Amino acid sequence: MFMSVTASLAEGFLMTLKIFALTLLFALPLGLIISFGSMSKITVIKWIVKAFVWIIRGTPLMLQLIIIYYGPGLAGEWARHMSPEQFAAMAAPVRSVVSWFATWNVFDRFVAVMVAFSVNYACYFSEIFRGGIEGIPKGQYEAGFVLGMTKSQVFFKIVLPQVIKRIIPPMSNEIITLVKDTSLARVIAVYEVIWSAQVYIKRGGLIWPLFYTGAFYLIFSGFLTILFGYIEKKLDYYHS
Amino acid sequence: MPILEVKDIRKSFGKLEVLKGVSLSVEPLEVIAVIGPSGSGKSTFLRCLNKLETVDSGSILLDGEYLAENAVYKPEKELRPMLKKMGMVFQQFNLFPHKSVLENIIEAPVCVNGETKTEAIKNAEMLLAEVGLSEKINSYPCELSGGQQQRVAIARALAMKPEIMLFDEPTSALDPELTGEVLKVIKELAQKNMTMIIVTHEMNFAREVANRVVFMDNGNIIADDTPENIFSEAVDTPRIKAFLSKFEG
Repeated sequence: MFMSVTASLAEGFLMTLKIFALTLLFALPLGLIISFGSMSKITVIKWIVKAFVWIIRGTPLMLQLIIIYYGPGLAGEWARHMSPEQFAAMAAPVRSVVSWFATWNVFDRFVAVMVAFSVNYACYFSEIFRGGIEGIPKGQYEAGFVLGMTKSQVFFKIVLPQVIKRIIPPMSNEIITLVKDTSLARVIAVYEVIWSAQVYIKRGGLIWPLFYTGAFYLIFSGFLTILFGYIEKKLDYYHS
Repeated sequence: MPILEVKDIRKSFGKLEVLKGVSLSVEPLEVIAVIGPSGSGKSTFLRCLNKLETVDSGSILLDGEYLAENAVYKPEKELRPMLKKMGMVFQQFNLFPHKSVLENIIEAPVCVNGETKTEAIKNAEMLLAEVGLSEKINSYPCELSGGQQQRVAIARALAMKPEIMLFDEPTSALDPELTGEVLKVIKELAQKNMTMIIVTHEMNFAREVANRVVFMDNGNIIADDTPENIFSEAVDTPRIKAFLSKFEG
């Protein structure tokens, strides 16, 4: 029994790991881009990005998952069931948007999970990046500039490596939170580890597999803690 | 032909006009000390020369070529090769903390000037020997004293083979016992015929090393003369006399 539960939980945990890894893959670069937006000298861009980050950070990830999963389908339904008179009464540009909506269908569950997680985590990461980037003294940029470096050389060779060292502690915090947040995917029926355990409750009233999932989370977050500790130590060769 | 020519530059920060029409012409091999009270615009003037600050009006020419003509700068692409002819040393050193001394020095020669790594390392070793820090080649800035960091910063600027060096209060952030080692390096540079503009509060150093002293006050150059004349008892500008008297005794 124990072995078969372990095997099926491991299978569920594979999905957990997949969500985790892909979220990092998309959210880290996206977060960097969003952080540039929130520091933009163009006020309009800056405030649009800041408002977006506020909405994403200010609402539950669970709600975002539900909206992203059901939203496009609902919009599509609404557009397809619109009466011809109603459609004709609208201005031309609105009409073209509505006919675009009409092509929409419910997202694939996994795609919805990836979109929601990537965007959500990108917003959190963007704030960490912003803090890290703004903490680099102006003199570092000036030193690069007077040596003839281009803006991107200064950013990638001088600024970013220092930002990475600064953001490792808040980043590791956020990434360990992500491990546990992956369990939210089950609200739109993506089979991750907790879902696999719940199957045992539904089938035979077996509750311990649910507790057992904790061990999977603990082992994985323990591994990440050690990994980040190692990276932090590795970057400890200098102080600014 | 002057190596650097500044014509009537003005610069304001908000409502405060920091430079009120400053002109200066620098000939090759000149060592110019810029002195004057705090807030007189010395550092801003220096920072305007290599576009760390942009001027509001006036022109700047390097080797007879306009860097900025009536406050209109050359496009970034043409500007960058010109700007790197001017080496700059900052008050706060601004070494790259995540790079070793050697990496600090070879970074720009390799990635900007396209030197090979071997070539750049050889040059860096030579420069470090000149500033007396050969044994620190693999250290990180955080392991060095302020004076040592500033000497590395000088070597880093020299590695780009500049035609002129700009020093922005190079010893102001240093403990008094460390200023000597940095001033010695600058003095040796002067002996090697480097053209330099040095913003400084070290009057004895200015008198000894500079062959021209520019006195700035309230956004203007109010005196531009040999050190002998500026520091002589006979100077007849009360503002300079008052300023210099603070450094006596």
